[in-house]
Amino acid sequence: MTATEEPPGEIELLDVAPARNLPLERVETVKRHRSWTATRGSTGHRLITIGLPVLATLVVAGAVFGLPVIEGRLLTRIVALTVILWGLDVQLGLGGQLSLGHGAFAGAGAYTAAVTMGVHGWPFPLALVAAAVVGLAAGALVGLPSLRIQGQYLAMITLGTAVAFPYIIRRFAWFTGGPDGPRIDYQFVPPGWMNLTVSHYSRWTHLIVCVVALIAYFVVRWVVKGPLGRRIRAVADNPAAATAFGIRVGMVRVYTVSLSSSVAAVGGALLLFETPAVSADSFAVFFSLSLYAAAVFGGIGTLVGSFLGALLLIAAPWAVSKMGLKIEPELIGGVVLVVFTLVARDGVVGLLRPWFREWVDVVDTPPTEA
Amino acid sequence: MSGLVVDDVRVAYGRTEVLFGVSLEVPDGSLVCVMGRNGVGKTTLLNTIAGLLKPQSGSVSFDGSSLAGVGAHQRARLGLGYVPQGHAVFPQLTTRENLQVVMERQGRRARAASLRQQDLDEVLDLFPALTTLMNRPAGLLSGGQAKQLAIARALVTGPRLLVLDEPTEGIQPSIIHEIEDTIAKLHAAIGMTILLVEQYVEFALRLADRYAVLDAGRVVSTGLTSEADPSAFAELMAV
Ligand SMILES: Nc1ncnc2c1ncn2[C@@H]1O[C@H](COP(=O)(O)OP(=O)(O)OP(=O)(O)O)[C@@H](O)[C@H]1O
Ligand SMILES: [Mg+2]
Repeated sequence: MTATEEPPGEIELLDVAPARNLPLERVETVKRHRSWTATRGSTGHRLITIGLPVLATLVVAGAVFGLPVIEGRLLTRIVALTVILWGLDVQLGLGGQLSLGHGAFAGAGAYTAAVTMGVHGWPFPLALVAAAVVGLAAGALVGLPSLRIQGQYLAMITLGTAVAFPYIIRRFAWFTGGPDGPRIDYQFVPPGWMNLTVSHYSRWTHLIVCVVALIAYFVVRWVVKGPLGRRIRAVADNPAAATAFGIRVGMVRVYTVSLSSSVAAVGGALLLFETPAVSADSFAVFFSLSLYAAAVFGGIGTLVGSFLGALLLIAAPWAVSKMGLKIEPELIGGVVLVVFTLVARDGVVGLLRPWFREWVDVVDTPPTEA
Repeated sequence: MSGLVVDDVRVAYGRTEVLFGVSLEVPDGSLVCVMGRNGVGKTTLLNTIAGLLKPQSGSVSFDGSSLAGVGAHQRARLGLGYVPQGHAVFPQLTTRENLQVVMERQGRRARAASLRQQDLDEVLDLFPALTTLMNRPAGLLSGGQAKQLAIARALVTGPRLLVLDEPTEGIQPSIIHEIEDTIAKLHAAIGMTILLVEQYVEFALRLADRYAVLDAGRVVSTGLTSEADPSAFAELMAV
């Protein structure tokens, strides 16, 4: 509780002249390995934060050319689900609020894309913008009660949204095309130089989905690091203190759900890119709960964890059927949720982080040579 | 009257009454200290002033206008800077972000970005220790560092009334001196109006112009610190 808690060595560490602010330094540390040290805000750190996602996207995008068509398409789904999980993570990780209804937001995005692109022939970037806007509005609507109520009641409202979603789709069938959606008349045709046969068109779709995901990643990151993200994190940390500093906690919570839902809707639209068909039931409550399980598995509050969670959602059923096992994929989700909640709160990423830190250590000031 | 006036405020948590008609004046430009033993309702009083709690009766007014119906976030914008008890910094946010997030709310479009940078620099001059910790998550700061950040965070909003809840609690003596100097500087140099809650009597008496002692939800003694007898407090504050 006293100021002496800070280890004395750290103070010295902070007094280093900025001239030593080299991008990436190889320093001797007390650790077993020689680890790379990146100083927060330095060129090296920026290279990691920008370069790694780009590199990861290139790998995931390129991988489709080494996979059979079916597995390639599963990879596309993984990328789309990753974006949905990023949206969910804005609410869970950043906003610190439980949501059990993000499947409905993703569904809203998928239906928006189906109607705009599939029925009205909008170009896909416009359809994505439309999905984002619909997601924003849907999130605001669902989040509105958080102006008045607090705590986990919002989770109940999101759950209710997930339950209601298929009925809403049916109720407005004249617009949504009903439970099985409208007839979709849209195809991603690759440019000629790619030399893809019709059966391999899905590879082009995959590249588009990857690029959209990368853009979504940077937009989410940008918001998280920006003024709104700061306010969202401040409210998650200490709502009373945030209020005392002029932050309108209720409004910030509405923005959080809205932003979160918007990203999930874009992810939902990407799912439609992969399979040009929608069904209301695939976005029902079970999907929402699987998303939550996937987020817990990957690690809430980490954008990489979302990819691992998405991987689980697709790869587990795939592996089970590949190996001819008689296990319900639902069971895997349930077991994962229970096990990770009990023993690994921070998910797979939480388990891997210490190992990663052995190699790249992010510090906030340049270290001295030991 | 300009400044803060608390008039016959009663506050309860559910059915548990905590403040039984507390009145307090913090005139413009003064430094008033509220003392009292643990659990007498000091924090409750400050939370009521900040708008985080609603009084059952009585009123709080600031610069002549009643704050009834004015939300906590609006009070902050009226110029109330609150340093809550304990480490009420935002732990996930870095030191810099802790300051940014409250400046963004206060400054909005009214002030140019360059001017706000100037505010930030002025405040950091008061807390040089923070300048080397700007990119560290506030959750990793030590107790003393977090306390300094909490005060700095209130100051960057450019408050007209600074409310501090036990700034010396759990802090080593050398940092207490720093905090004391800072508060004295703010009061003397720019005439900032300050309401201080403290248990450390000598500290409070050195700084404040006026004092009020709270006991079991009532003000039991008030006066000028220059006329106060420190030994008399021993009895009032004894547990
Ligand atoms: N949220 C709450 N709900 C119910 N009772 C509360 C709550 N907060 C405080 N109390 C009670 O109100 C009384 C006054 O608490 P308060 O925090 O105002 O005391 P304090 O004078 O600030 O004490 P300290 O010196 O320990 O900070 C205490 O008896 C406490 O138990
Ligand atoms: Mg208190």
